[in-house]
Amino acid sequence: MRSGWIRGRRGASAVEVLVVLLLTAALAQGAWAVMAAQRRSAELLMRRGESLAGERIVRSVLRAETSAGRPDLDWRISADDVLSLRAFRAWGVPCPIASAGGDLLVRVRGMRKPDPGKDSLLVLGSDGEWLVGTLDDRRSTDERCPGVTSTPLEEWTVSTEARDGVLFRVFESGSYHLEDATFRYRRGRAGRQPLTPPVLDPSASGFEELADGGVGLRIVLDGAGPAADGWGRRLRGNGGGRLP
Amino acid sequence: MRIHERTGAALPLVVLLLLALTLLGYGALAVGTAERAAARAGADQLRTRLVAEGAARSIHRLPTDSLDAGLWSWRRIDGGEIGGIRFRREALALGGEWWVVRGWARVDASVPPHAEARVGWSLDPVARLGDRAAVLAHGGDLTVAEDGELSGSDMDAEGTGAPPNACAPYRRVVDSLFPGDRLPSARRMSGDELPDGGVPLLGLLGTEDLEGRLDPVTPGSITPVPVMRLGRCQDVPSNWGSPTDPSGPCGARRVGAYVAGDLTLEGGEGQGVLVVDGHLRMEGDALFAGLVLAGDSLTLTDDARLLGAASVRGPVRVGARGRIDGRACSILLGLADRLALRDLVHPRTGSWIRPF
Repeated sequence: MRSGWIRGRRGASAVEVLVVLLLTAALAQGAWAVMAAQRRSAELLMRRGESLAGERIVRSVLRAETSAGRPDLDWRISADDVLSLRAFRAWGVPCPIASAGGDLLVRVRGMRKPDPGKDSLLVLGSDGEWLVGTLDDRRSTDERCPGVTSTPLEEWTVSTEARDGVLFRVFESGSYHLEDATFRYRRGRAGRQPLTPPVLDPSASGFEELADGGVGLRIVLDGAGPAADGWGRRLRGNGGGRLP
Repeated sequence: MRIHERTGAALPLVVLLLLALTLLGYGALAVGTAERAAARAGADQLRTRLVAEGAARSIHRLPTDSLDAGLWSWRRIDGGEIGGIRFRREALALGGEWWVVRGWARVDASVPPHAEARVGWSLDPVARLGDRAAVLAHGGDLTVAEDGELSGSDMDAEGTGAPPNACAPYRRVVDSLFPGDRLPSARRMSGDELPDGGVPLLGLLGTEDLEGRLDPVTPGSITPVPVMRLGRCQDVPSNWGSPTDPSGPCGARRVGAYVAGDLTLEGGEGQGVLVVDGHLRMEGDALFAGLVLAGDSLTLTDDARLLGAASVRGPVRVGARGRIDGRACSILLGLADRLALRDLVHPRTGSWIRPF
C-alpha cells in the first residue's frame, strides 16, 4: 500500500523544484529588469523634476520682475548672463491730505516694508509720466486719511519731485545672473544668492536681445531631457517687456 | 511524512514575487500620476495667469458707478468663469482720476491664484470741471468787442440750457468748486500747457484720443437743428440737441463731435462736446452749450453764443453781441454724456505693475 502510494508520486518533487527554480529565475530576472528600469526612470524623473522646478522658478521670477517694468528703463541686459533691473517690492498710494508734520500719508502694499536705506521710488505723476524719487524716511503713524478711516498708514518723507505723485512704486536695484549652472539674484552689491539647483547648462544659457526690440532668455537645462544635448526653453519678451 | 513531502516553497515564493511586482507597478503608476499632476499644475498655472492678464487687459471702461468709489477701495467690476477658471475684475481709485485695474483668476486650491494689475487714467467730468482755471483758456490773443461779453459769474449747478434738476447730483460739488458761483472769465495758456500740435489737452486726452472717442463731423459749414418726428427726437447727424428747449424731446440729446479741419456754425443750436482741430467760427444766432476745444482759433460773430467753457490753442475773437458764458452744468452734462471719453488711458511709459 505504502510502496504503491510512493510509486504514484514519483518524480513530482524534482519537477516541482525545477519549475519553481525556473519561475523564480524568470521572475527575479523580470523584477531585476523592472527595478533597474524603475531606478533609471526615478533618476531621470528626479533630474527632470529638478530641471522643471528650476525652469519654473526662472520663468516665474523673471516674468514677475520684468513684466512690471519697462525694457531699457527698468531692466536691461548688462552682460550675456546678467540682467540688471529695478526689482519692485511694494507700492504706495498717497493721501491727498498731508500729515500733521507736512509729510505724506501713504497706504503701502507689497512683499516687504520699504527700507529707505536700500529702496528708491518710481513715481507716477498726474501727467502720466514716471520719474525717480527718493524715500528719505518712513515711519508708522496713527493718522488717518479723511474718508478712509480703517486703513493703516505710513508717514513718508520723500524727495521734492515725488511729492505730487499719485502712485509710488518701491524698488531695489538688483541683478539676476546665470552663473555656476544656477540662477542667482544679487541685491545691490551683496552676494549672489542661488535660486535654483544647478540645472542650467552655463555655456548654452543666457539672456539675448531679440530682433523685435524685446529681451529673451535662453535656458538650456543640463542634460535633463530626451535630447542628447539637453533640452531648453526660450522665454520671449516683447517690446512691452511682458514675457508670455 | 506525507505532510512533510507536500510542503513546497514555490507557491509562497511566487505569491511573494507577484506581490512585489504589484507594488512596483503601483509605485510606477503613482510616480506617473504625480508627474502628470505636476505637468497639469504647470499648465493650469499658465492658464490662470493668462486669464488674469486677459481680465486686466480687457478693462477699457469703468462702470459709471465706479467713479463714485471711495479712495483706495477696491470696486468689483464683474467676474465669471472661463474654461473652469474663475476670474474677477476690480478697480481701485487712487485719486486724481487715476485707477489701478486688476484681473484675478483661480482654478482650484491646488494652484495658487494669480493677479495682474495695471495703472490707468479715466476722465472724471467733475475733476475736469474743477481743473478749469477760467471759462476761456486761450493760447493766442483775445479780442472782445465792445458789445461782446465774456463772463464767468454764473457757474452754478442750474445754468441755462439744462433741464431742471439735471445737475442736481453735482450741486454740492459745484458749490464747493466755485464758491460764489464765480470763475475767472479768461486765462492765457503758456506754451508748456499746449501739446505740440492739435487741440488743447482734455486731461490726458490728446487730439488722437479725442478723434477716436468722438463722432466724426465733416469740416465745412453746418447748421445743427433739433429734429423731431411725432414728438420724438430723431437720431440724425445734424441733430445736436436742443439747449433752447431743455425740457423738450431733444433737450437731453448731446453731441460728441470731432472735426478734422475748420468748422463754421451758421446759426442753429447744439450741446455736448465739440472738438475742432482747426478754426471754429460761430455765426448768426448759433448757440452751443457744453465744452469746446479748438486747435486753432475761435470766432463768435453776430448773436452767436457759447454756454460752458472753451480751450483754444490760438486767438479768440468775440464780436459785437457775441457771448461766452461759463456754465458748469453744460460742461458736466456734455462730458458725462460721452461714455467713451471715460475709457482708460494707460501711461505710455508703462502701465503694468505688480499687484501685490
